[in-house]
Amino acid sequence: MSHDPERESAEFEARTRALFEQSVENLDGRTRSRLNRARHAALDELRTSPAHAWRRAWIPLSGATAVVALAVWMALSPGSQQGQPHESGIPIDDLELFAESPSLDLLEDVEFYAWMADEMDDVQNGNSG
Amino acid sequence: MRRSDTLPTIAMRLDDEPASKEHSLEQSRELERFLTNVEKRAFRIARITVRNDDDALDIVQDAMLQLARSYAGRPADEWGPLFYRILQNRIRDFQRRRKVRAKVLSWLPGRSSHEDEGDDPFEAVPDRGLLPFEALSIEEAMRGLERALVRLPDRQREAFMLRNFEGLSVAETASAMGCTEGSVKTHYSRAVHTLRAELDAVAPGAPDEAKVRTS
Repeated sequence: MSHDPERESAEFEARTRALFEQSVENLDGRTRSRLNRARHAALDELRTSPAHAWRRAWIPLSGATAVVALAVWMALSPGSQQGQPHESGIPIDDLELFAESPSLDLLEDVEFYAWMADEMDDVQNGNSG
Repeated sequence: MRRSDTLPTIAMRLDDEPASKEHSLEQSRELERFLTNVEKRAFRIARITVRNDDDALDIVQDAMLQLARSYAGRPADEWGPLFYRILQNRIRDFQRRRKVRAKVLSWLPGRSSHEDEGDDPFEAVPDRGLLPFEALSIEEAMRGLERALVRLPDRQREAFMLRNFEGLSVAETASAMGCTEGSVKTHYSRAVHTLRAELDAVAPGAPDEAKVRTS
């Protein structure tokens, strides 16, 4: 049998595509139902009053505020010199991770940052665990 | 401006209102058709990368909302690349956020960064309309492919899924990925090469179908 890399490659692509299609068809009822609800929520968005837009605008803003507050807290806390571990054991250089995330979506996780600030308070007060 | 000049304009606007409503309804119906068509595939694509049903559902919902909010007024033939661009951005943001979370959790004493990760109970749910054995073999095969896909570099995985699973053209994939068509071709070709090599290594000499299934 002759070796035809292009044909073999095309066959491989066709098989993986068919497998993907089957896995899509076999999605369970719960997932289908949640996707259905998500679609309706998106379509409702088309009919949403512009008055609601300002509320959405506050979400990233409050997230940004939480991150800035956390950064200020970290900077003003004792032992927060550049390159040295923070009093709570957190290297300041790790904060660069936050700066590497250009999307505001990361800042929408307000609940997470609030929880993180609480945890850090606990750590500083010696209530870890 | 004289009053008589404004009257025809107002009358025309009143006439246009039903037409505008009709257009809006038609747009809504068209968007619904589009979303119905892509949502399950988008979920699968997100699921392959983030490996969690709930997270993948959240990502797809966000992408659908963003498309409706910002791009519903754009021509329908632009929705595909726009939607997948939003989806890929959401997936990347999620991965970044997960890295940040893991890093933060590693800072906290007595906490593991894998603390909130667990087995996905829905992975074991049988497939719709198939006998359990058939369902299992498809799921197993898909999981094998997913494992191989997850090991690919992000851009290669994106190119492979958008081109091969979604059937986007090179130009549409380039638009969705925010890169050149040349880059798409390179990423895609490397992805196919790596996937084939990896699946061959799992079951050398076996037919391709079996390789995908047993990997």
